[in-house]
Amino acid sequence: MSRDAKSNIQRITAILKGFDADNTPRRTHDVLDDLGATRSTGFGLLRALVRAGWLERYDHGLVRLGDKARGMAFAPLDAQDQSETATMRAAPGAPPRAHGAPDLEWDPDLVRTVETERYKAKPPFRIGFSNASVNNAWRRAMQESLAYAEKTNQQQIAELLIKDAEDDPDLQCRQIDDLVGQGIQLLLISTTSVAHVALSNRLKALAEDGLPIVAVDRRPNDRSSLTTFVTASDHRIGRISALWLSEHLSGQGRVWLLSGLEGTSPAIRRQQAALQVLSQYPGIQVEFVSHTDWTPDGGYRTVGRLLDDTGRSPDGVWCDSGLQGVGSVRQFIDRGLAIPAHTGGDLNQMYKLCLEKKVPMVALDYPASMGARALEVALDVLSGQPVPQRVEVPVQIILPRGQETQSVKADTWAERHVEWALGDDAVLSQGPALQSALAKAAS
Amino acid sequence: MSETPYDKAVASFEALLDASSRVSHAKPVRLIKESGQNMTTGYRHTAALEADGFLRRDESGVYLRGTAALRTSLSAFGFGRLAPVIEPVLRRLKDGTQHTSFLAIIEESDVCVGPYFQGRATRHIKLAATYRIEISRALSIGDASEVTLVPVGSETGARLNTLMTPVASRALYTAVLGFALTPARLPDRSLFQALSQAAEQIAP
Repeated sequence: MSRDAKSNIQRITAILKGFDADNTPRRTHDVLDDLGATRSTGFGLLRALVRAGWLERYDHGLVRLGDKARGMAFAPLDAQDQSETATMRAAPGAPPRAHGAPDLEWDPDLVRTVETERYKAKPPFRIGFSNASVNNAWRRAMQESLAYAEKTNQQQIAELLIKDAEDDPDLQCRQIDDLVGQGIQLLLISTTSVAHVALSNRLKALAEDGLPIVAVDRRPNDRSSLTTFVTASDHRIGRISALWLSEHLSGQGRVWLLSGLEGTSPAIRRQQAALQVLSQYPGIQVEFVSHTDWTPDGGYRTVGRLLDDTGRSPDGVWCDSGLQGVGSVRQFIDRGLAIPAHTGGDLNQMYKLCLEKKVPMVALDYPASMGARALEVALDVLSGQPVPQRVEVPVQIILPRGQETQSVKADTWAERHVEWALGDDAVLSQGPALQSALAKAAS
Repeated sequence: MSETPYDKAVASFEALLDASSRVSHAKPVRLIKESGQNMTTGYRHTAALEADGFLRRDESGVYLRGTAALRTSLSAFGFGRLAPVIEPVLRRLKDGTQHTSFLAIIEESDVCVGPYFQGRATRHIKLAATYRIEISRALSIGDASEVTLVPVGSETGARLNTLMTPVASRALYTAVLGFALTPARLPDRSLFQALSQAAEQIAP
């Protein structure tokens, strides 16, 4: 009878994960002690792993990872074209610029790692998540994605405590104290504000007391309290969407900029990147810059006010997300006006509206699946695995067919990305969590 | 010698990992069928491998090798420290150039291809797991060089033209970043620059 409740598959992964980055040989007795199974089970598995080539004997009583483990390195990092899913990659286009260094947007934090050995603990873990708010569909989807990852990793998680700070930094401070009081071993946080002094100080004090803190989506300006930050490239979202709009307009036209929630780090970085690109086109005139709280109502009201004030439509509306983009498009529809080119994805409704009304658009979904990724990174931290200082979840470029420009090519067509069977509020970048919603819709 | 329950467990583990990299599967049932296991056991094993990071699902739900699998495989070469950073580096190389980007490990003239992103400009080129270098040449860290690879075990297999730069070396092994190149076309200068930039980012 084995002493643990694990399956042999789980024991195999535990054995293979027990070797360090240098493949330092380990004593079989140490491997078995860490495994926690009976001697006969442990030895049986070790012998089977050696026979199959996953482990190799190094010296008397020592083993290390073998040839089979090395062979596991050959693997695609994203799905191949034979995918059976609805996602279809766009057809090959011309490579970008033929001369000069490509803009690879290197961020040193992506390749700097943080040693987390000091946070190593025995599972199952108690983790707290302080969410800035759940006031829009994206934030709810991100939290759903995190909850989905909790289910997948349930054996490693004793409890995941979640608090909604309702966009109030003072409330967030109190909720963090409450989570700490409940004995969490790691704090996941999406901050309500980039520069709230009390919040930043509280996080700093907790980090100094030895609590690992993983920020997701939004972080404070002072990142010294963070173990790591899980995000997506806001710079890429702002830059590519503005570049597409400029090229779509052939470098000439009046543009309105609708940002998200004032003072939040993603909104600031996307807007900065967009303005930088637009400033390179002398014929592009940025008539207005406004904030919309990342809500359809915010987009609707802002565009309504601007149309009333100016009396004429712009040539393009840059939105840093479809959260407000749908409100903007709706305003033009309700007034019976031609809908100018738009940017911004995220919401299923944005794709539905733009495809139905044939609105030229580009979308770069801010991946809600970063919730799941943040929990996985949190588990790595508590397992003592090194993690990058910044973890980026990839952002795809989504365009309706025929809307590619000279520099901006589609990773996926909008016609294949939209989910007609799902509701308007669905956020399509939830990752596997969305598959559950699709299965429900199908049944 | 008869197969023990432990051998069977190892075979199941291997079959599921292999199935995830052979063909894209968006549903556990397809992955399990491909691996040749029965459904009840297969579901349990798939869930366990996903929870332990040996399998993961991408945005569209397709099963891929997980981060723990990548870390374990690179650790087996002694390059486990590259594991947390290699994905963003390869992704940027692919996104910035539209070429297939890869990490490979060289041992003398043998080349084991590791994780890779398939790029649009070279999507017709399918990588194999192992090659040998056609004409050996010295590679130095930070310098990108054109290297032609020949598939191992196939005298008729297509040669692979690559651009490579070493980023780390350890005992017998050298880790290189590379691009797959379109045959009979000279690589653009921007590819050399991109690889050199990437090597600067991660070389010690």
